[in-house]
Amino acid sequence: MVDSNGMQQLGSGSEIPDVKDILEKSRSMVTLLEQGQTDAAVQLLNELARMRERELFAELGRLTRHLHDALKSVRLGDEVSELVNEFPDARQRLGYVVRLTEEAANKTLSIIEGLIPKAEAVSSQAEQLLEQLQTFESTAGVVNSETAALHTGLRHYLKMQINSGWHEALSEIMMAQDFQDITGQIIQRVSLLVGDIEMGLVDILRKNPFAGEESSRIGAREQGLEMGPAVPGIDDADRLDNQDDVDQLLMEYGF
Amino acid sequence: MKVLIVDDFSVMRRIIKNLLRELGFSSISEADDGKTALPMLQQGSFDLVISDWNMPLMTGIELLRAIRADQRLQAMPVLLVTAENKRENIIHAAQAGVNGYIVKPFTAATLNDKLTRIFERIAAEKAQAIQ
Repeated sequence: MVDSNGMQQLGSGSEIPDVKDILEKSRSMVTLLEQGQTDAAVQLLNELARMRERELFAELGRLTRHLHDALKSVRLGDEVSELVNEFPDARQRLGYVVRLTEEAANKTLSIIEGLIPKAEAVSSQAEQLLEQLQTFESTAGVVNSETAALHTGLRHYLKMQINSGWHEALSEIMMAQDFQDITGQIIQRVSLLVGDIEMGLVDILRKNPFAGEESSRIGAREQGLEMGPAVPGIDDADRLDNQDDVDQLLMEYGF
Repeated sequence: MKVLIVDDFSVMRRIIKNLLRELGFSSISEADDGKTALPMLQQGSFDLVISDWNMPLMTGIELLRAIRADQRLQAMPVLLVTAENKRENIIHAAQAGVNGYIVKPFTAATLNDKLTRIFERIAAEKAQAIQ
């Protein structure tokens, strides 16, 4: 049997009660109640409940059949097998991206860690020399015009070293390496998702359409809290954009 | 002052470690997950925990709750430094008794500011307890 939506119907007319039948039974139940025949009324009520159960089971049966047919109609040929075989490769590639960025960020950090003390030493030595130079100038005085030019040049150079801004710039380069953490977390999340889809497809391929209970690794870990950095344009809902907003919210909780 | 940095990303641990060194902290240890951090905290005499949220075996919020549930550790200041910027996460952290919450990406000034506030608060609470 096919209904107007082209859906196959499992239940026959006898299984699914019609409205008329329900109305009739309900009316008699009310009459019985009014007449004080409670037992008979309860019996009718039970009958109505059973009718509803039958309807429910018939509906469930119909849905199950639909699911079966839908799964059978999906072509699980070589194409899907090939696709599934590519999943581990995709995850390896993603893992490789995380490893490469980690290596690059660590390399940058090593260079910065080596440079920061040098930048500090240069600037503090320049400060000391400038002080010595100024003391010398104030006690010895300017000897001649040639040394005066040399002194001016030296002062200029030392001040340049003191105000080089190297340390700040290096700190900024260091902080910028946090991209590896954020991108790494996002890639890990995508990788988990790919793994989940892979598992789901493998399940289907095993011709076990109703398996898949083990496929809920992703997502909420506790109390519905999802983890991972927000991806702009995808995860915008209920996110706080900056530290000020976070502080504001925390203030409401007594911070 | 002994600090424990907990993060599964080595790059982030390294960045925080460098920032802490510049702020004058010298005794800094690292753990790559809440699960490795907890026994370290129980054994060592740490004064501060700076933890990420999203970690594989034991998350930052789970670590925070474990710390608050441990009699000897419950007063330990915990600063979460995390990419989790959802309202819900921040509220959960506040309710679990976090001492500070920094959203990644962050700046050195933010870290300095939150640490200063945490220690000011602890000092104020101590002074109040004495009175």
